[in-house]
Amino acid sequence: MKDQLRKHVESLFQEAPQTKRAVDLKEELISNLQDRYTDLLEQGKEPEVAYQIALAGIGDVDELLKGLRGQDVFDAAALQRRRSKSALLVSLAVALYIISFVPVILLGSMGNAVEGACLMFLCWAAGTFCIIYNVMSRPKYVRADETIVEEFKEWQQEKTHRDNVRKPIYSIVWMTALLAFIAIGYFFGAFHLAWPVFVLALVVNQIIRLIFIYREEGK
Amino acid sequence: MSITSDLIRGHTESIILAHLLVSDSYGYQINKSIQEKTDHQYELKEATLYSAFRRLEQAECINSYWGDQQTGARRRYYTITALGKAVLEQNKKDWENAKQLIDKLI
Repeated sequence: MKDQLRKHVESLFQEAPQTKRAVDLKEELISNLQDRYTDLLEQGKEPEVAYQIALAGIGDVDELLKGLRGQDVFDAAALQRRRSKSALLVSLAVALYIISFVPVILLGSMGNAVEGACLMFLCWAAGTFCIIYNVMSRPKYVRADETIVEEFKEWQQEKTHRDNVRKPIYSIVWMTALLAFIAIGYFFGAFHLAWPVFVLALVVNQIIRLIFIYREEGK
Repeated sequence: MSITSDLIRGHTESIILAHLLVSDSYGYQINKSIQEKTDHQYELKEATLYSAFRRLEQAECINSYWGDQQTGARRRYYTITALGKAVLEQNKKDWENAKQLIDKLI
């Protein structure tokens, strides 16, 4: 009977979001129902009767589940803060990417191409940090609508798959550009003339991205 | 019974806080104590009880911790915070006022 209580509660929680809070709440409910059931048996109730009384005492579970979902989804203020923070980080990253060419051009024209390149990489590192931090620190949203969750999961999986294909290509382009930069600079002593290879790499990457998008839409 | 239930439901939080003021406790123990004190005239539904726990926890009126349970399932104990005590004090005053007013009115 105790196991049946557990099974019953677990079926009630099937629709609940799979959060730690939901699991804790479920365990708490089960443990309390089992206590009640044991007590009823001690009072001399038949197991079947005790089971029914325990179940009747649960009440409206929807109320509880709604609470679980509510706080996970609609925290409008937090969502707004999160959005502006995200926008700030992305803008900062884009700004860093653009500014990164300034030291190369300036220092390059003064013959300090290596320092310029170093500064550019530092800018890129900072910009990339912003973007990665933005993505990693994004909370996972639990949607109330189950079908949306499924769709979202599907989309996310697809996207991960796409990213797995694209990311190495982008990295290869950037690494090639870096090697070309060092090669041109080192062998021809022309670091100040070599920086456009990065612009070229950027263009190549964008073209690759466009090809991917074009092919996807063609599907 | 249903009318009294509705009347009392608004005080679920205060009832829980009053129990926790005496000692830390867990869901079933509180509900059992409510039943005993009211001669089985009143009891909370589990869903109502846990919704109230969550609200109180969010409002930082109570904290919870998992107790060590040798046998059976783990129990989640609740303890009242300083804020919880203050809220209970205020709710008691509000209730006294409301009681006096309603006595005059009906």
